[in-house]
Formats: sequence, C-alpha cells, structure tokens
Amino acid sequence: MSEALFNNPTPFEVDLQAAFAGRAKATGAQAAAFERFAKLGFPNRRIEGWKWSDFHGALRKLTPANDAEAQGDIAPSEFAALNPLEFRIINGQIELPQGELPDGLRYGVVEPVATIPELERHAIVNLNIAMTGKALGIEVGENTPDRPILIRHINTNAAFAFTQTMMRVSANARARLIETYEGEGSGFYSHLFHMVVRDGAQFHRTVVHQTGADQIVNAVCAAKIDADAAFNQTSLSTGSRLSRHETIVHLWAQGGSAEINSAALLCDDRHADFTTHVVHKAPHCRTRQIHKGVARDRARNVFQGKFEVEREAQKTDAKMTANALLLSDTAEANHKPELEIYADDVECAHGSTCGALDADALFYLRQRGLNEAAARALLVEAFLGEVLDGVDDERLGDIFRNKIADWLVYE
Amino acid sequence: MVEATYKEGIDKATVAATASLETYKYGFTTDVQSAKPPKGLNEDTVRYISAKKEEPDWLLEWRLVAFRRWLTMEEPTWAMVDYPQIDYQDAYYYSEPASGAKYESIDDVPPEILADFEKLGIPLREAEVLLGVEGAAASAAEARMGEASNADGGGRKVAVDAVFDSVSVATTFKNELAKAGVIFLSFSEAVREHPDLVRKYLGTVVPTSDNFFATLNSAVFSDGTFVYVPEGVKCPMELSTYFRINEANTGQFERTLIIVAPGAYVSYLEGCTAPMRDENQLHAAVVELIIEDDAEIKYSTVQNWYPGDKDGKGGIYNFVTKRADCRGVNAKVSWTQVETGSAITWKYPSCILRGDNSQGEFYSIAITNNHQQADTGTKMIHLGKNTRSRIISKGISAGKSNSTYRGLVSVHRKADNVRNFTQCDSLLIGNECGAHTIPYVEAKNPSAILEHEATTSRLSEDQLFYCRQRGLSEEDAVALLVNGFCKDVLQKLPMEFAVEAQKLVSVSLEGSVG
Repeated sequence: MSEALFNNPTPFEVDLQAAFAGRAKATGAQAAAFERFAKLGFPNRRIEGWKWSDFHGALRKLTPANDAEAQGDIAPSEFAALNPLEFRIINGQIELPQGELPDGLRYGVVEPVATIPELERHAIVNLNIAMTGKALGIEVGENTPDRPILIRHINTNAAFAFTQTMMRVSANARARLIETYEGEGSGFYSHLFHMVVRDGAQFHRTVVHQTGADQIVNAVCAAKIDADAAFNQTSLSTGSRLSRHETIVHLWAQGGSAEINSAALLCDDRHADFTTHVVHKAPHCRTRQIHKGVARDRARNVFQGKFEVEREAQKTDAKMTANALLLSDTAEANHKPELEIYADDVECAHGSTCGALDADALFYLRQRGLNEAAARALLVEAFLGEVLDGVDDERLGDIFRNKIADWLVYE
Repeated sequence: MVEATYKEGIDKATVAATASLETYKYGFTTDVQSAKPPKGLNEDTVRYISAKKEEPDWLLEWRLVAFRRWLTMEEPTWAMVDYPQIDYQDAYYYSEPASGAKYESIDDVPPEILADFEKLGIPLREAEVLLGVEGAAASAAEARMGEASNADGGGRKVAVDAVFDSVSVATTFKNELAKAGVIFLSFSEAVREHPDLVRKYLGTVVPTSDNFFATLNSAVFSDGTFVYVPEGVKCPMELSTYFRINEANTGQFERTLIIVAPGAYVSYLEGCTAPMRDENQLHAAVVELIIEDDAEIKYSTVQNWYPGDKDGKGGIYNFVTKRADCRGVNAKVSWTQVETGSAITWKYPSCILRGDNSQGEFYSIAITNNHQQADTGTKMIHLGKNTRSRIISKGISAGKSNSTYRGLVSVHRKADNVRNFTQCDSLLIGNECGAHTIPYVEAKNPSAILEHEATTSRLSEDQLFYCRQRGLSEEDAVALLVNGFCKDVLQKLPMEFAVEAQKLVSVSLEGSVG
C-alpha cells in the first residue's frame, strides 16, 4: 500500500491503511475494495445521501481509548426472555452459540463477500469488504423451529471493527432475527449484512441500536427478496454520536413485499440516521414504510427513504410516511422521502410531517389530571404507536414498549 | 400554419391558433447581421463583453472575480439529468445585432427583428400592446398580434423588455412607467443610468460564488432586465421580458434584478423561445428578487425554449438560478412557472424568508415529453419568525422523458411558528418515462409545522373512458385531464399567460398517446 492512496488522509485513515497493510492475507478483491474506498474517502456532508451524517467529520475527531480488553462481563440481553439462539460479535470477533444445533439451522464462520456490484460507490461498504476477515453465516431451512436468532454486536472501546453477516432464509421458511448494537466507550463499528429471502419465505428482522453515546456505527443491510417472500423490519434506535442504519431491499420477483418501520428516540447530542432504498424490480410488489423520530436536547434525527420503481415493476403499491416530533428548541429533524419511478401503472405516495407536541392535546390531558411529564409521555408513546403496531410478536412488543417507557422517564 | 377545416360555430381564429400550436412554432431563425467576439471563454471574452457594454470598472472587476472563481469550480452532477460534457470553449458568449445595442426609438429597430418578435406575438409597438382581456382572440399571442384596440377600453397594458441574443433591443412603456417612478430598463441601461442602485443590489441575493452556472453567468452575463419599484408604488402594469436566442452556437446569459421598495408591488412575466437547431445551446440565467417590508413580487414564467426534436436532438440546456430574498417584514413572493421547453431544465426558484411574517409561494407545472429531462423545484429557507411557504408542484412526464421535483424546506433555529405545506404530484403518460420526487426537509425549530405529500400515478382509466364516451378524441381527453391535473397552478398565472399556458400544456403532450 503506498501512501499516495489517500488524498490528504485523516489520522483515522492513516490507521486504517496501516491496519489493512498489516493484514495476514488480503485477497485481490479486498485490495481492490480498499483502493475504491481510498479513492472515495469517508463520506462527508457534500456527498449526496450523507448531507446530514458526516462520517468524515466525526471519524476525524474519533479518539478511541483502544482498551478493548478492559471490557467486563457481558450482561445478558433483555431479549433472553424470548429464548433466542444467541450469537455475539464482540469487537469484531464472532462467538457462536454453544450447545445443540437446532434442526434446519446451519451456521458457522465463513468467507466474507468479495464484492457487491451495486454498492461499489458506497465508501464504507468498500472499506468493510476490504477489512473483514471472516463473516458469520446463517442458513435457515424450511422446518426450523420458531426460535428467534439473536445477534449482539458489542463494540467496546475498540478503535474500529468490521464485520459481515450472511444469511439465507430458504423457500417457505420463517425466520426471526433480532440484532442489537451495544457497547460503551468510543469507537467505530461497521457491519455489512447480506441477506437473501427465498420464494415464499418470511423474514422478520428487529434492530435495536442501544450503544453508549460515543459510538460511531454504520450498518448496511442489503436484502434480496424473491417471489411472494416477505421482508419485515422494525428498528428502534436511541442513537449515538453518529449512527446510520441503512437498509437496501431489492424486490426481485412478483409478489414480494417489504415492511420497514423505524423509530428513533434521541436525547442529548445523539444522532440517528435511518436510510432505506427499496427497489421494485418486478410487478405486483408492495412496500409499506413508517418512520417516527422523536428528538430533544440537541439531538439530530435523519430519515432518508427512497422507493425506486423500475420499468417492469407495474402494479407496484408503495407508501411511505415519515413523522418527526421535536421536543426542544435545539433538536433537529431532517427528512428526505424520495420517489424514483419509471413505471406508469403504479401507486406510490409519501408523506412527511414535522412539528412539536400538539398544545391542545397536551392541554386536554392536563385538564384530565395528568401531570405535564405523564401527559407528554403519553403523547409521545401514541406518536410511536404505528411503529409498535408493526411488531407481530407480543413479547417483543412488550420489550419495545418498556424501552420507550424507560426513555420517556428521562424526558 | 396548416389548412384547417372547421365546424360551423367554432371561431376560425381558435382553429388557426390551435393548429399553429401543434408543433414548436417558434423554431424559425431570423437573418440578422451580428457582432460576436471569437469563440471561447477566457478573461478577454469577459473584457470584450464589458467593453462592448461600456461598463464601469467596478463591474468589470466584479465579472473577473466571478470568472476566476468559476475556473476553480466543478460542474454539479447531483441533478437527475444526463447530458454529454459541455465544451465551454466551443460557444460564443456574446452576440448582438450588428447595428449596435439599443435603439433610441422603436422605429430604429431593424425590421427583421421587429418581424421576429411579431412572429412571436410580442407587442413591441406600443400601439399594439393593448390587450383586451375579454376579447375573442384565441390566445394571448393571437390577441397581441391583432388589431390595436381602444386604449382606455379596459384592456390591460404590458410593458415589455425584449432581449435578442445578448442585447435588449427594445423596452416599451418606459415613459409611462417613469411617471409612476418605476424603473424598467434593460440591464445595460440600468448600469449606465442607475449605477448606484445596480451596484448596491447586484449579487446580494445570488453571490458570484453561488454555484457553477450562476458564477459563469456573473462573468459573462450580457443583458437582462432591471426593475425598481419605489416605496408604496403599485406598478401600474404588468412588466414582461421576452428572451430570444437567435444566433447559432450562442449561449444566452441574462441577468434579471428586481427590487421592490417597502409597500410596493409588481407582477412580472417572463417568456422565452429559441430556433430549432440540431446542436444544444446553453442558457444560464440568474434572477435576483429583493423584497422589502410589506412589498410583493409575483413572478411568472412560461418557459418554452426549443426542447429538441422527438429523437432528443438539439434543444436548449437551461441551467438557471432564481432566488428571491424577502428582506422585510410581511414581504411576499410568488413564483409561478410553466416549464414545457428545454432539452434539460435545471432550475430551482427559491425564497429566502428573512423578514418576519414573510411568505413564499411556488407553483409549478413541469411537462416533459420525448427525450426532455427536467430537474426542477424550489427552496424555501425560513429564517424569520411566522414565515409561511406553500409549494404546489405538478410534474407530467410523457414519451421517454424524465421529470424530477427536487425541493428543500429548511427551518432555522430562530424561526418560530413556521408553516409549510408542500404537495408534489406526478403524472406518468406511457411506460417509457420517469417521474421522481426528491424533497429535503430540515427542521431546527420545534414550533414549525411542516407537511409534505407526494403522489405518483397515471391518468385514470375511468376518467379517460368517460371523456372518450362523451366523444372526445383520445388526445383531447388526455389534454383535458392533464389540464385538470394542473388546474391549481394554472389558476395562479396572470390572465395573459394562463390561456397560452393551457394550450401549451396540451401541445407539449402531442404524440404522447396512442
């Protein structure tokens, strides 16, 4: 690796280059990916799509303690009540669950993806491809028992960690995945999730971002949905210094559907970015998307949703709603709901609103005897209701409600 | 004009006017001797233009600063438009009719140019300018070409500044406007006659460093319009500028600067056409509006540059920066645009709502057919308290065209009680076109109420069937439904433009069905 790779590198980029050079064996594809990344650099505010999430600026200031060993015991997950099969990725190291392998489920540590052609312009995806040593692979067969899979991404004071997960849900199978992003201290964590949902399969993904305030996280999920398959995703984020959860869904064949809901609850200086890109490539597919963002203090909520409907994708039915609630004078909401449509016989719509709590509703509740805090909490909970409605598992819904209640206590 | 047979009872003029609109009827060229600097763009070109216009030193310096800045800038690529690399050295940056810039009286204007504007329906002769609103003429253009009607018969007057390639050839009604204290001049004249005003306001809304195309304009802008409406004056007539590109290989870079002093009002219309040529021609204009306390500007555009032929050959590249600065309290600006022409449109008329209680409006119809590409929208930047904005955008795509709405609504920290409503509807006609919506919403104040909605659909089968059943041809039915789709915006146009715009809407979609 020559120094000339980066144009005016930041200290962090210098570290990355050293780390890449120090890797035992990088494949040709990884070297090419690193070169692409070096050319692009970390995305800054001037790059379309990163206007409100400046990784270049945030990583320039990153000073990780680099004290990864200092982490203590890992507390059990609150999702343990669901009896999940628990995977852990701690500072980039994959820990597989112990014990018997459930029927129909295969998993292991596998070679990472060499390239994702449609994401070659995505700087951080390139970096991830270049830097990941081994990936976590999970395959769900048709007769898998209804037991959720839990992946805990824990990054503790590591300067940076790059991981990949590859998952395949076989035809007509059902799978439920819960991913949590955890960890304290400062550091940069990048996860690339490669996902295939085969014909007629149903896949539910739940993402909970609950890291400490100083973490910088970029997670990209690229999912390919086959005929009559369903992709259902619910995300809840309390943000961190910079956090971006990007979901790219390709509806490849007829009858595919996607439901993508997300909620952000942000306080202090936290930032959360939900970016989605749903590509309708075949006729008769359906997408529903709801985003709700609540921000107070100096928090920043970002939502960028895009529906792309290709020429062949007639009879597409896609709707997007994004609502933001600002609870303080210094909070911020940024929305970009986008439609890119090349087929004429489609129904596509999006709506976006932004505002404060309704003074009349607040007054009504106060009049009914609720104190200010309780009234506000009730209204915020109601505001988030639509996202919770998308959670079909009752126990999961309860955990979500508790999390929201916890957040609101501090409100 | 085509021979037309017509049913009894239908006004002959209506038939003729409609027939004449069937194709791009402004595609003729006029044979005028012209003076041009050598092809290409360098500091000498800038000096040439400035010298030609006998500009003061500060303006030349201003241009040169812009030019040097431009050399360091990169052409923006974020818009959803696709065109071959423009060779900025392969064009003329200035062209004026050889007989000199401005004419003392309308009688001195060469007959070819007068005839050209006459063909366009532009009322340069003041006697012919009187426009009977309720008249039986089929279109505004028709009416303007018609016989002069009684001056005091309730007809509305429109003062016109006609810009032919790089120079303003005539400005009408100057004396009458002067009586009211309104300054309505070509830009070059304004620089000579009111240098202090020009210097005070030029570049204060769109600075020379604003963006690639605006900076280019700042360096080489040729002519344009200057309007100053003094305090408390309601401009007695509509003002209008007509832009015409005639020369081949010429770019047009005009600059419009409108200032309305406290309590003043003006309604301004803008139209444009160009000959049909196989090569692409560049048009990069800058429009700056300055609105003081309690003042109002209504700015309407019917943009009908040559869009290229049905295979996408030729046409104007229209890269325009338009911005209004509501500096005073209760200031109001309203942009209404009908975009039917241009091979490529890149245009975002914006409102900076700086004064408290100021209001910005944006009403737009963008129609693309064949291979046209339009990336257009607005920016509403709310800086003042209680500022309000409203965006209604109707995009219609047909043929193999692509139309994009791109808009920003931004609310700053100190802007309390902001209200915005945005509605973007897109209509697709045929299955080879694209319609896109890219709104940006940035809210930094919790008291803001921002709403945005967008839909994309095609013409309703039921409605089409209903119209067909009532005896309308398919094309007429489509035209009727599209006009209905655009109604919210068409209603906002001044009468003179509304009739023409309505026809234009139907004409632009010719050949898109069946």
